[in-house]
Amino acid sequence: MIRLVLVCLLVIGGAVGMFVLTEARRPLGTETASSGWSDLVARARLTDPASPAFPGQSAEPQAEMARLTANAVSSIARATGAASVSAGATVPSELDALTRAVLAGLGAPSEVTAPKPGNRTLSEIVDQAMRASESEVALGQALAAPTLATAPVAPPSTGTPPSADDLSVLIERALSDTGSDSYLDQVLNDAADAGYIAVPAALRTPDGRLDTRTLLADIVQKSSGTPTPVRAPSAASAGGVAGVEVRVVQTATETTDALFYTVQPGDSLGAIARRFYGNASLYQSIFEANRRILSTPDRIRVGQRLILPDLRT
Amino acid sequence: MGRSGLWAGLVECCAWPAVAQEVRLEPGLLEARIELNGEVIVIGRTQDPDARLSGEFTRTARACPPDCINPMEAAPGVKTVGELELIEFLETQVAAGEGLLIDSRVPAWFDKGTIPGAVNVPFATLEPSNPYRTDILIALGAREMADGLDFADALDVLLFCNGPWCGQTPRAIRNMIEAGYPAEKIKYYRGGMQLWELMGLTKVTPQSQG
Repeated sequence: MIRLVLVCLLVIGGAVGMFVLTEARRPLGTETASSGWSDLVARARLTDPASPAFPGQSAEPQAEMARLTANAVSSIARATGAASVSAGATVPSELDALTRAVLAGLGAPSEVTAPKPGNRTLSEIVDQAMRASESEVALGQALAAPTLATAPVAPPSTGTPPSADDLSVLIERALSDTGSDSYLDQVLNDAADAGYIAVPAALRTPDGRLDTRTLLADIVQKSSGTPTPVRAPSAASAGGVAGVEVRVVQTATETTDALFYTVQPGDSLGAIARRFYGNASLYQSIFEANRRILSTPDRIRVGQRLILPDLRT
Repeated sequence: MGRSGLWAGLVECCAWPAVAQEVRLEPGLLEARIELNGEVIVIGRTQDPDARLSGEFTRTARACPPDCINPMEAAPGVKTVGELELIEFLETQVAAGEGLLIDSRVPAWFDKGTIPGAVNVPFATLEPSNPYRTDILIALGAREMADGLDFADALDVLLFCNGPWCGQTPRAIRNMIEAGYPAEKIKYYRGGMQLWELMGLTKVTPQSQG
């Protein structure tokens, strides 16, 4: 009896795996919005890089880390009696505000400060995506889509149940257990390191990590089924991101302003494409324009200067 | 023979009402009262005979990865401790300002309830990828020298997270050691919140902790 159940589970798991894989091979932009996605469509607008949903994709995790660190340091100082900063000092109110901000940022219910819609975290996005999707298969579909045609989700190895190696399952587990972005980032990267999941080339950062932020931001955009219009890259769209540079380029026939971007720590081609064009899947265009210095899309190095082509033409 | 039977009956009948108040930390200790930073914290156990675990901590099939069974030892040289040693750590090192009890979970979990006297240092802030990690190490008593950090006066720390199935603390400990923190200054409470709650020990939410 137990064996029968196991066999059934394997068959179902296999079917899900196959579905995810076939979905991954579907050309981009063909996914249909099912009825459950209406809320997602509304949410997806928040991820439009024109709006301040993700100001500086690589900068924000650092900002969050800075807040977490500052919070931890203050807590330690308070606990160790840090003689000079005793309990009566003016720190607490500021600290409480900081604490609430961190908690709100991590999606914890807070009676005082509601998280601003523009500051939604990865966990909230995926959580939303999962609630809206109503099934793991749909989530798998949402996840498979942004992994881009050249880098399908790792096929399940024959020896283990397919579901255990599935990216979507990992994300779901990580979220249900902690609900934190940093933890999700760790789990996904651990899984990538251990070979459980394949890291899409476009989402590989210079230090070899998986760019989870872009991956997840892309999920929402993809699942909403609203393609962002292709636009010219502009320094303004980057919202004060470091590493942007406009240079005058002269060719035989014309003089144009060209936009250059210097790769920052934590960047991936997908993140850069998302930031400047609003669509991670346009990483290929950046890759093509920089073929001279890039061997593969997952080999970008901090400090490399990439030209950002104008895609309107 | 008859007399001892009578005594036994008497003891049983008279002792009964008191039983409800007799869930002790140790045979001779009902609760621990510890003064930390001018504030007295009390650690005892629930006296409700019907108390049961509920919610998160009743789960038995957490997926591995990420929630795997952790080995007893987090890292070579790091001592693994239990509940009584943790309380003793609070009474001695922490009360004397020489130690710190660290909850290494993410703030959202810390906020739901932690061990009295614990400070939240999320494990992610101890990752080498955190550019501000040095700030935390300095807050823990490390000194910045020309050739790196000096941990001679660093605090003794005792870390915990959600339980034997939580990898965040072992991870944090390994990262601290990698950063130079002496293993002998680090302790690991492997039982974590899972066993702390199982023993009915006092839990506080950071708000009430002040």
